[in-house]
Amino acid sequence: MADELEELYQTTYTAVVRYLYRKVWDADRAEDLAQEVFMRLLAHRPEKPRAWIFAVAANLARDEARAAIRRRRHLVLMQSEPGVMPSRARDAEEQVEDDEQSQQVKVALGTLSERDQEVLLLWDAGMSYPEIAEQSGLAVGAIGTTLARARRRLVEAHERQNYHEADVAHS
Amino acid sequence: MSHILEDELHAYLDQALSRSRCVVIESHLASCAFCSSQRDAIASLRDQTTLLLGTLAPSRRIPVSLEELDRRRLAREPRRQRNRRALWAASLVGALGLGYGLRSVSAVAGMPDVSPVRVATVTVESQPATPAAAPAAPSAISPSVTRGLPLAVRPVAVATEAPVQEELVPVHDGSAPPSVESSTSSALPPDADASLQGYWRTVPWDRAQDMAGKAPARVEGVPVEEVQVQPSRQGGSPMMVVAQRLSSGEVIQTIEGPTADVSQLLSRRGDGGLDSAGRPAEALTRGDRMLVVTGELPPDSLRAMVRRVNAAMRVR
Repeated sequence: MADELEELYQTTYTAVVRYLYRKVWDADRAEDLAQEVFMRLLAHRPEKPRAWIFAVAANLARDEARAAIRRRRHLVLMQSEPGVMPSRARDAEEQVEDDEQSQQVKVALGTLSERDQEVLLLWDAGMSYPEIAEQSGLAVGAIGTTLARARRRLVEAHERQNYHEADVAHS
Repeated sequence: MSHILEDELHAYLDQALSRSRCVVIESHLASCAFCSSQRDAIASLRDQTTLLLGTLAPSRRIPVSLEELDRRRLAREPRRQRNRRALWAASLVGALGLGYGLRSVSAVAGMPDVSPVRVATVTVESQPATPAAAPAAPSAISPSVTRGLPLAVRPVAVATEAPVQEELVPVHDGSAPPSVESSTSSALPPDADASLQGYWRTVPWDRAQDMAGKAPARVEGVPVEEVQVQPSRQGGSPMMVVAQRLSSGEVIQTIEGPTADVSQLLSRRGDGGLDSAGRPAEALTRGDRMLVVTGELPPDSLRAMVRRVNAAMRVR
């Protein structure tokens, strides 16, 4: 069991941090929450650990969002807060471009419905259709449809963002 | 064969379909240019999505080891356990402190008074937070106080008296020798009526005092919310439930009455009178009367009660 958990930790931790980051938009907080998830995993030892991990992560992210609202931090969250720190060798201009890009994607992601976002993020975290269905409450057969819509909308929203940015730049 | 639906192509590319279904789709794609181009478009969309989401990733950091996380988890665990122990100990000492209240219980029952000091000898084996002043425990007493409320507290606010004293004042009148003993509620009388229902009445504090002949047993220093009374089936003094609200908002109940009735009441609870740890609820009994307190008392009450027990013992 310990080896299985260790392997799960090695293979899932980064995905959990990424999943949480896309929910709370704070790299440090995402790390803290991911660690909390795994500490709880060690205490509970659930039967389906992988699905359990993402279910708990989703709950923690939800609680975090509520707390953020209570603290009226949501306006701050809309500001660009790139998680990637520029390395010394990295060109600052390139970094700015990346930040702009991630900000556009963040805005594009925000245009999706909550359910579409959830399904897309779970899929990107490497969860299977049945696992996504279990967590999202959708039928397994509906996951393909939801993902198709979410992917299309994300890309379309991002393209709109690009056009908008280009318009602003030209004007 | 008709064209393959878009969502099925997504599922196909996500490897979410059965092997047999994949074979069918692949054979169709080999012969259908439209679906084949659709597949390519969806694969491109899928890759684009992955790429876009990839920009929304925090910086890669070396995660702490799972062992380290386990150490952290264990490090914070004892704190919780300590809190639980403190609450448990508070409950226990609350029950001991209530032993003083047996004076009134015994008066109600027409029995000799009970020495608070002797009550303090009721203690528990191997419990860490038992007051230091308490003498050695009679062995094999399984402690404590039941959790939760044995009765549904009806939303009737009585609170005609709110005895808000800071401390209990134990009074020993030196009358009959004390003979309080500790027992567990699991010892139900063999002839106990399993369907004890009865009619509970909510009465004002003054009325409860009249019925009991003295102030009903309760935790002193805590406002009384409600007093419920049920006539004893054996005649004599009724069974009383005094509900009091702690400053934390929790409602504790002091149940006093004929042993058979109180035991039966506890056993009718969903948990059969067991506390959260699965231990039988402890009650103080004397003769055919039993007193039980439910709920957990805050550490402040614990300290106050320990002070009082110590003071009473010094006086003795």
